[in-house]
Amino acid sequence: MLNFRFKTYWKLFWKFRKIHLMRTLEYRGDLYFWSLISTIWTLFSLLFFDLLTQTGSIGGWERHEVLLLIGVFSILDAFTWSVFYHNMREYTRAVFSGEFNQYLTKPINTQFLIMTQSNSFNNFPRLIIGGVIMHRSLVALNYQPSFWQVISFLGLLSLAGLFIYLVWFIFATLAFWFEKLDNINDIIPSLRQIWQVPRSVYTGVTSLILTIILPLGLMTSIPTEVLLGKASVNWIIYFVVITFICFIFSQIFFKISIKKYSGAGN
Amino acid sequence: MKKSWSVIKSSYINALAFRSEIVLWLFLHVIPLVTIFAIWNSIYSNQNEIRGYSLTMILQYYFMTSLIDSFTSTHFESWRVKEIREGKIDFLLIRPLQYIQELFLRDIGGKALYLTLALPFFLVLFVIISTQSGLTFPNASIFQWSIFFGLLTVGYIVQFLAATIVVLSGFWLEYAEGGEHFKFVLLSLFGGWMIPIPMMPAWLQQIVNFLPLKYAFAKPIGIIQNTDKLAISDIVYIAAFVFFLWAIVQILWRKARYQYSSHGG
Repeated sequence: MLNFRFKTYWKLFWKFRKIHLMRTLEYRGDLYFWSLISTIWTLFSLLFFDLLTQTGSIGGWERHEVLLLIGVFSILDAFTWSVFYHNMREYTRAVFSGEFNQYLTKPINTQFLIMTQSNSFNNFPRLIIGGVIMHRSLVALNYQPSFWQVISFLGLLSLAGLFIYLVWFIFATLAFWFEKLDNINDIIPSLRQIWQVPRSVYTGVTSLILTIILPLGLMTSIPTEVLLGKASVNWIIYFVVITFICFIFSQIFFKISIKKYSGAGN
Repeated sequence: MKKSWSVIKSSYINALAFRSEIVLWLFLHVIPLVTIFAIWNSIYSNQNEIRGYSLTMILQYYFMTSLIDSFTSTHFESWRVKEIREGKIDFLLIRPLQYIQELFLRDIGGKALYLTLALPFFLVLFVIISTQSGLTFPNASIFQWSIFFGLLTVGYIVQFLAATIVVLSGFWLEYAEGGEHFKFVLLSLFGGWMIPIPMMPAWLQQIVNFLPLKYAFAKPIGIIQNTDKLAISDIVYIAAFVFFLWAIVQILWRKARYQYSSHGG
């Protein structure tokens, strides 16, 4: 039974991707144009940090360590924009317009449907640029991470993606509580700058808020630290635990919030 | 005048319906400031001055960029281009106000509400940040502040004209709204929003000093920080640039009217 369910979801997931790839290829000009825009933003961000690191180290991180972190950020950011943004926008739009019934009445998990229905291929160049920046930074640092460091890095990067998704999902779920707040989906994109810098730049109250209470400051720092072999085990454990807590909270909050929903007879 | 006032007023009232969104935007303004302040605090932790800038000056610089951005930025490109593409501006073309005038007056109305909420917000934010960091109020004369606000007005006009060019290109180009991103990147890079001019590499400084975009951020901040002055040649350059943008808008609008088509109504 479990195997059957998994196969169904697996098939659905790829069906959605196929539909979106077909739709993207139908409007190729759109794909090229927005890929260019996202590439420009990535290069702009790279230039900014390149200029900053010429003035001194940032939070004790040297030039190529910071650039490595920017590479990791570009990959994570490309992934979150490609997958989360469109789905969250569609999710909140459906709640505000009263069309959320369509999700609730389908014979599959609502959250699965919300999170896999849409995606974008515009950020693909950013993934490549991020990879290139990472490679060049590691070469400049003359550092070769071990196999286990790479595996841990990938695991923690996926965990960071999951954490961002959970926080974004919690914010988007507020749509059930607020009647009209169109820019609710712009909250997380506006917070991205928090994890674009090493966590050590945050000190005092900001450190308490951004690395412990809402640890968005850890998203790229922890995976990069693991790759550089300077991660603290305590922080990694905290990162895993807080993601798990956030997961539990998001599920409970979604279940409570959904009870507030009233559709618009469609 | 009466017509213009009523458009501004109606735009202000319409914007009031979205006041909670404006308040949310204002709070989201804080995050980039917190991050940039944290970055510069860490950079200055082992040095007192970088290329003539102390930590206090650099914090002032970035606080001012945020404030200037609130005064001068325009964000109507995306939805206005969409309106044109979907053929939904018929009613604007038959009004006794020119389309561009309507764009301007509506933006002024929205901006008025935004500033009503933003100015007290920035004041409170300034007080909070200054107690937590080395941020202080710039020590400038009334004359310097007058030039600062004069340049802010020019900055708004430049941003409005640039945004109007993006909107008008929507009569021909399918992805015209993307021009908003180009506008922002160009202003950030060549206007001094990203980093103060003295901290840029020599090649970038040459480009920035040649282009007029520095009057948007770098120049006004330089004036109130006593690191720069406004010369007569600057005023001539600004006037020529504004005239250049205005001429492009007029040429585009004359041609754009004949490109537009819609059905039904």
